[in-house]
This record gives sequence, structure tokens and C-alpha cells, in this order.
Amino acid sequence: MRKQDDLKQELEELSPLLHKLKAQENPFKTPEGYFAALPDELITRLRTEAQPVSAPVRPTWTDRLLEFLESLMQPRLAVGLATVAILVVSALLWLRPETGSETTASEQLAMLSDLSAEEVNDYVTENIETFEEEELMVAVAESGIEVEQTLPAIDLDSKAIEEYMEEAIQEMDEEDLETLF
Amino acid sequence: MKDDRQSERGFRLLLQKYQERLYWHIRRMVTEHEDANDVLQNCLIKIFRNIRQFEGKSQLYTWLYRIATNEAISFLAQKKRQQVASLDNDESHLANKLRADAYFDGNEVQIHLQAAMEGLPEKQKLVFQLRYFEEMNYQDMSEMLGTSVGALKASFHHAVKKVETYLAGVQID
Repeated sequence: MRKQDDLKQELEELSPLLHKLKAQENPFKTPEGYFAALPDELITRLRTEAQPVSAPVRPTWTDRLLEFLESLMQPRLAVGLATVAILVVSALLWLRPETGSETTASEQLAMLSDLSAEEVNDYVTENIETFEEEELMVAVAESGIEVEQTLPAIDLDSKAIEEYMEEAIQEMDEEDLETLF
Repeated sequence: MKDDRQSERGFRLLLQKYQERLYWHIRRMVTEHEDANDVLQNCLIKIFRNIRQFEGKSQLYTWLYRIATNEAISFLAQKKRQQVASLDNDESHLANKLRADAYFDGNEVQIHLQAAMEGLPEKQKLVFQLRYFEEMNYQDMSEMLGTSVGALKASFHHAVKKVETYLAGVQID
């Protein structure tokens, strides 16, 4: 701070009384150790107040993925999805170009062995939304397939889900993640 | 995390250099220690969070004083709104408060001096405080308050005369 050298002179000229009073000691006091403790008190306050008070926590993409996978593991939905998957495969067979004679469901299933898993996967992925649920239900009824026998038992605990999730994440690239979320 | 530690270290240095000056500036404006402590802490937290906005156009302490002054003025305005109307005038109310204050150890003349200042218009009181107690030069005061040096000199002179008149009119033991 630049000191005002002529303050003394200014006061002497303006008010000798105030000039005289100025020599008295500062009458205001502080609690003992106040200034020494202040920095720590302030830093603590800054750290505390820096934390969000009650901002809603937005689920991370891993939370959402875990939630999605857990929902798949719900017995009712899992069976439903598995059933749909089987029906979709059956429907896929119907949609293939016919060779002339009609095929039975068991013949159609036998034809699955001619398809690579990749082919099936691609087709189902691309056309899942075009399948009518009712058609699929009829297809599975005609197929005579016991859903529970054809599906692996789904009994994953949370650890298994986490492991699966980690594997799935490892295989994903950035584009997959962006598409998913 | 490293930035946080550096900021904290910088903040501690700033406190080391300015906390007492800012405290006394605020304390003289709000009078009581508890109020001064509240205002100072709010002020310093604002300074910490806005230090990057300091553009270096004025001296750092002028910028700090401006924040402290604004914070204290806001506090006083808010306190005034909350105060129940008293039969005492502001000066005698302040004098009584100081006599009861554990952190005020002044004599009667000093109490009357504080009371005399309490009767000044807000801007005059601030100019008197900055000049008389804090010995700030007019140029710095002008930068801080955005008022011309001539106007500040006139304001200080008016304030001195009013305080002197007040002190002459009270019975001092």
C-alpha cells in the first residue's frame, strides 16, 4: 500500500483533537489465536463447501449396463427373451427362400446347423423389430420345442453379472458405447 | 488434485499477507468481532473462488479491499433491515454495544469517536475510516471507490469536522 506521507500534516491542520486521538492504541481486540487459526478454518470450509450439496447423481454408463444386464437376468424376462430368440430363429427359417416343398419345424431346426452363428445373429439383430410377437408365439408352439430344455439355466449371481459385464465392456469399442448410451 | 494443493498454498500466502488488514478494515465497518469474522470469511472465500478474475488493472490489495468493502456494506444493509426499531439513536446504541463488547477495550473517548463515525453518511464514514484509521492515500482510495481524489478530500474534510463537532458536544470524563 502506498503510504500517505502528508496525513499527519493534514490532520494537524484539520483537527488537532483527532490528530491527538490517533496516537491511542487500537481498542478493538480479537479472540486469542484468531488469525493463526483462520487459514485452516477457511481451507476446511472451502473443502466442505466444494462438495455438491444434493445434486442428483446421474447414473454412469456402467450403472446402466449393469442395470440392463440384471434386468435380463430376471427369471420371467429371461425366459421371455430366450423364447423370443428361439422363435426368431424359427421365423428366420420361414423367411428363407423356399426350395419347393414345405418344411416342418423340426426340419427347419435341422437347417439351423447349415447357418453360421454369425448369420443368425446378424439376421436377428437387423430384423428383430419386424417380427410380430404373435407370429413368433405361433411359431414356437408349432415347433414343439421345450423352451426350458433348450435354454441354459439362468442363475447368475451379481458376481457373475459383473464378470460378464467386464467382458462385454472389454469387447466394446467407443462407437458401441455411444450407440448403447 | 495438484492444482488444488497449489491453489491452497497460494491462498495461504495471500491470507498470510492480507487477512489481518482485511479483518481490521471490515471490523471497523461492522464493529463486532463475530460479524467481522463472518464477513471476512465470506469475503475471503469469494476472493479464493474469483482470484482468476483479478485482471491486474489495479493493485491486488485495492481489489481485495473493494471486495471486502462491498461485502461489509451488504452485511450492514441486511442487518439494518433486520433490526427492530430502537428508541436509541444509532450513536448511543453503538456506544452501549461497545461498552458491553468483550472484544472492545477502548476508553470513553474512543467509544465516542466510534459513535461519532456511526452518525456519518455511509460513504463519508468509509472515507474517514480508510483515511484516518487505515491511512490509505487518496489515489488508492480513488481506484477502490471509483471517486475522484478531489471529492474524496472534500468528503474526508467534512467527516473530520462532523466528528470533531460531535466529540466537542459530548461530556467526556
